[in-house]
This record gives sequence, structure tokens and C-alpha cells, in this order.
Amino acid sequence: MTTDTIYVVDRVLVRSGHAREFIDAYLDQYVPRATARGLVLDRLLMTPPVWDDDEEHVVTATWTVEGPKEWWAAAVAARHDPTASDWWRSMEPMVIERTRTTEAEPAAVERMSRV
Amino acid sequence: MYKVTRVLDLHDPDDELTTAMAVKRLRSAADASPAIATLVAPTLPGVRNGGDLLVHLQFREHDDWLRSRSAIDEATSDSSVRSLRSVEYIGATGDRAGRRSWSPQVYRTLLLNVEDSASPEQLHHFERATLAMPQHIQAIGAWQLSRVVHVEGGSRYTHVWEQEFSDLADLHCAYMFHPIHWGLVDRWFDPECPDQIIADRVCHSFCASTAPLIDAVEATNPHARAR
Repeated sequence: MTTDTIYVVDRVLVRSGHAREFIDAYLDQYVPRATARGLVLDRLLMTPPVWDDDEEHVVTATWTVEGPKEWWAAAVAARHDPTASDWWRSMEPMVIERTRTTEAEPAAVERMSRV
Repeated sequence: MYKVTRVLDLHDPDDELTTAMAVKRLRSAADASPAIATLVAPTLPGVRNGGDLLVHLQFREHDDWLRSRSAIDEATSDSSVRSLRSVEYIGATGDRAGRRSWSPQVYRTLLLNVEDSASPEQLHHFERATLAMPQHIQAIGAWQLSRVVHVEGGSRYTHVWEQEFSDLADLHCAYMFHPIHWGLVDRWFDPECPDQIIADRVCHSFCASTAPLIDAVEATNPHARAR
């Protein structure tokens, strides 16, 4: 990571009983295509960290790109790849709600803004 | 101000002679109209879904446009033109437009389509964030976010987001690379993001411009917060 790193964070609230299925689909289907578009998977986390089918889970995927030029390259690639949004649509039966945010380290914000 | 923007795709944009003739014909038609400001120019490399020629006309009144429309229609339907998209809109005023520079070299317009499913709150948030961009990006010399009143050409557009820049680097770097763009505003365009309300595909078009074109009524305090 550098101070120019941009973080793309997906937080997904997964229905109870579907955490393992969602994570497997994410790793097998979504990750390879996102990686091909230029994103780097920094980490994939889940909470609660236990396979309990009675609990809803929050799955958090943090992706990185090294700067806005690379961010735009990945974003434009995704817009020309309908499989990305199609995949999210196919996951809807397992997903209660989700967010996607684009983030940076606070210490980097001022410098990133001087473009 | 009643504004008309037409984005033309040519059959063969690499045919320089035919393109030059099309520009000349369009400029003649624009000059003969009662438009008080006109721009007819080839688009520059880097546009996305932005056409080959950009035609922009401004009229004091809607009736002025209606009187000249048939001549413009004829000029924009020449055999060299493969397709056109047209939007008509009333240039936004107040806190939806502003100017801090009078020496533009690049005119950029973004035609976008907010989906009908967007809530009023989502639309308001998107518009407010878009209009906050000039506050953060000093390279935007002038700006205006207007709502479309009439559209033709097979694509649906609801908004026109115009800017002027002093050079292409200001558009390609200062504007595109600022965190407010990729970190805030783009979420409404991202088909992977649940916040998306802008249907793909936008028309991102720009061309050379040597005179101020955006009809911001008065200079806006660049430090004023857009609402």
C-alpha cells in the first residue's frame, strides 16, 4: 500500500444461512473478474466470525488500486463488463442490503485533492 | 436561455474533407439562426459515447429556436451524418451555475439519464454533490447543471452537466482525478454500486472552444457552497 492507495469497500449484509454460499460465489466468480479489471483484493472479512446458519453475516471486501488513473481504468472496464452488475443481481436473493464506498487514508486526502 | 445540444456521429469521421464540409455547413446554419451563442466543432480524442461533432446553440427564447429549427434539422441530417442525439434545455441559473474564468479553451458536456426509479432524495443528493464539484475543483472555469426538457435521437437524457476548462489537462486530471469525483459523485454512475441512479451510457463529449459559452448569469463566488 502507498499513500495514493484508493480503497473500494463492499459491505454486504447476507441473509442467515447463506454466508458460506455467498463467500464461495464471491471468491469463485466475482474476484477473478474484478482482479482482471485491475482491482487488488486486500482482504475479505466476515462477522460474526463463525459459521452459524441462524445468524446474518456482514461480509466486507476491501479492494485497492494505486491512484485515480488506475481507479478510472478499473471503473471504465466494469462499465463495459455487464457481468459485474449481473453478478450482483444474481446475488440479490442472498443479500439483505449492501453498500459500496470509495475510501482513502485521511493523511492522503489533501495531497489527493491537489491534482 | 433556451439551449440546444446536438451530438452527431458521422459515417466516416476519418474523412477530413467531409468532416470539414459538415462543420462549415453546420456553422453556416447556426450563424443564420437567431442564436445568440453557437458552437460547432469536432469532438476531441477521449470522448466516450460523445460523437464526432458537437453542435450547441443558445436562444433567448424557445420561439427563436422553433423559428430556426428546420434549417438546423436539415444541416444535421446531411448524408454524412450517421446518427444524432439532441437535447433541449433551459440553462439553469442561481446556484446551479457559476463562472470564475472567462478564457476557456475546452467546452465539455455530459448528457446523463437519471432513472425514473430514483427517489427525490437520491436525485437531490446527486445534484447537490455534482454542484459541489466546482467548490473543490478550481480548474472548473464555468459550470451549469440543467434539466432536459426535450430529447431526440433514441437515447434518453434527463440532465446536462456543462463545464469550461482552460485546457485538456484540467479536464483529464484536475476534474477526473479529484477525490470528489471518484470518491463521491461517481457512485451514482457505478452500475455495481447500490446507489446508482444514472443509467448507462452517459454521453461524455468535449471540444475546443475559444469563448465563454456557459450562460452563468453572474460570476459566482467560487468559495460559496453549492446547495
